[in-house]
Amino acid sequence: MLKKICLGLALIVTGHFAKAQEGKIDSTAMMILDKMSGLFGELKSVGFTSEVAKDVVYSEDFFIKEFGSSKVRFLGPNKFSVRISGEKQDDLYSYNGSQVAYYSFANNLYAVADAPDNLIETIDWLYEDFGVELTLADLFYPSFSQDFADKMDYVEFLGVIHIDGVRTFHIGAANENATFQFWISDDGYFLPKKILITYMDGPYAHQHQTDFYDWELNQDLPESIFEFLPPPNAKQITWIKKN
Amino acid sequence: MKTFNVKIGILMLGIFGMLIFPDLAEAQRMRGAAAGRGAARPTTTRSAPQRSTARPASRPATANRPASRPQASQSDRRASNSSAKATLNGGSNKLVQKPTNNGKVASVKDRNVGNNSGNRVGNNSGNRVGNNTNVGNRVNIDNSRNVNINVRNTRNVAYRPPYRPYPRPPVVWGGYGFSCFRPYYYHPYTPFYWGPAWHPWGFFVAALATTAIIVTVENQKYHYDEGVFYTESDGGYVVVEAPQGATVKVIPSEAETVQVNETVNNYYYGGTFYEKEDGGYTVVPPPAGATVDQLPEGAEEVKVGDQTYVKYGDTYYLPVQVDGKNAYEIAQVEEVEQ
Repeated sequence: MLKKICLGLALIVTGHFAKAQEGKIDSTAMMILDKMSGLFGELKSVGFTSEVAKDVVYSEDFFIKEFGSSKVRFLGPNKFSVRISGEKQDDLYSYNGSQVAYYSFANNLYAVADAPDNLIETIDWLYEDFGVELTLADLFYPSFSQDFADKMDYVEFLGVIHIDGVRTFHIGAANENATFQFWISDDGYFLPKKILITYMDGPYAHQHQTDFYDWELNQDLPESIFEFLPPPNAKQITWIKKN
Repeated sequence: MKTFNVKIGILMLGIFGMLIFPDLAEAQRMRGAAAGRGAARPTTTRSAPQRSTARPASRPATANRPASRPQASQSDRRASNSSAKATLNGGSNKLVQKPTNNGKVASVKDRNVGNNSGNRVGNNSGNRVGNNTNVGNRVNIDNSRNVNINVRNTRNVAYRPPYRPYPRPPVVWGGYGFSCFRPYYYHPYTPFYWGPAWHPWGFFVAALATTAIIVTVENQKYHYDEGVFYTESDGGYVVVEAPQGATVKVIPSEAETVQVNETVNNYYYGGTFYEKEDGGYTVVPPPAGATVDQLPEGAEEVKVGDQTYVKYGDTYYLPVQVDGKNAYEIAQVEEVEQ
């Protein structure tokens, strides 16, 4: 009898060790992320407001916190409008299916570049060529949950948490470069409520937090809101790309 | 009594004017009507019987309205209303047509940017959208003449490295690190003109002043007059970028002093930096870290990441403030390993 118990314990313990070594991808967490990704895959249009707080390098060994917000509208397959308001900026990026226009409200300047013909490629191209990172852009990839699971060493469902009175699923994930936390609403839509990324790849860890509000799903957005019309006296400048 | 007569005269003139220019009177009525409509809006909250009686009386203008519209356009609108467009009104007739924005993209070391020749942005060639305000500044520039000469100097260096280290790591963009001492402070770039004798790159003159001298740099002959370098072209002379290494005896007295380090000063005039050497002034690269108040015609604003620099030649200038005054700091742009 004792032998059996010992054997059982040994099996459990070795099993546990084996699991810890190969990393842990929690199926509950992945199911919730899959639901969220699946919803974005089905949407024709999406809009939301986000509040961003991020640590920014001010000088060596010194980070400062920067706050900003953005109003985002995506219309499939090839339109978006993102208005970013920060401490020192008030910018608009709009994509009409063929061009992306940047407009600075503060400086009355704009830049225009010919873009790919679909959202996913344009989001990639904006980041690669111009360093423009759109909020939530990663979540729009059709293979988001698969890519996420591949890149993470560890994904776990951490329980149900209430944020601002909203019931959310808390999911944690990590790899050697960063840790991710998602709070995903438990309202049938599985929309993100909050995402917190802690980057560990520099000499100091720094955070990037995004809160989401005012989701608009499948609204019939008129195409004209994605057309950029330069305001009077606005000046076009050249957009310098990275490559 | 006299003033009374004058007043009556003005009044009569006004009435006469109204009769001659009925548009004037019409415009005023339109404004009044608009205001009246605005005030009448809350009446919608009235109860139904009141509204039905009040409505015809309060809107006598409606009877006149169709007559004032051209019949053709009315029927056009009706046609578009019943079109296949399933919108509220079949689509509005816009005053401003959909713009054709030309994409303008370049890379960090692109020599076509910040350059008077060829496809620079901000020239007079007409494909610029929404920037007609500067046109008046440029009447002196004869852009109709095809200048085939390259106004740029390929041997010139973009900047002279600063004598002290930068306190912050560079902003890396496309394999290049951008460094400046002062914080970014945007102010719009307005081309500056140094006076009647000064001309921007690419400017053509048929003849030079008698004060012009000949300067030779690396077997290339230049003509120099009042802070401007020219080369011969097409029976005249074209303004070119000042060749670094050229030494001249005199620079315009309007040249301002720019501090390079504790012991060296440069002189800045018309977008060119000079250093005093053995009684002459030698054209030198722009000293990184130093600031200037004005940049000449021919520079161009470019968006590098989150910041807008002004590029003149190969040199990037960061808009900054010095003691509360707008200025430009010469940026160091060096290749970095990523």
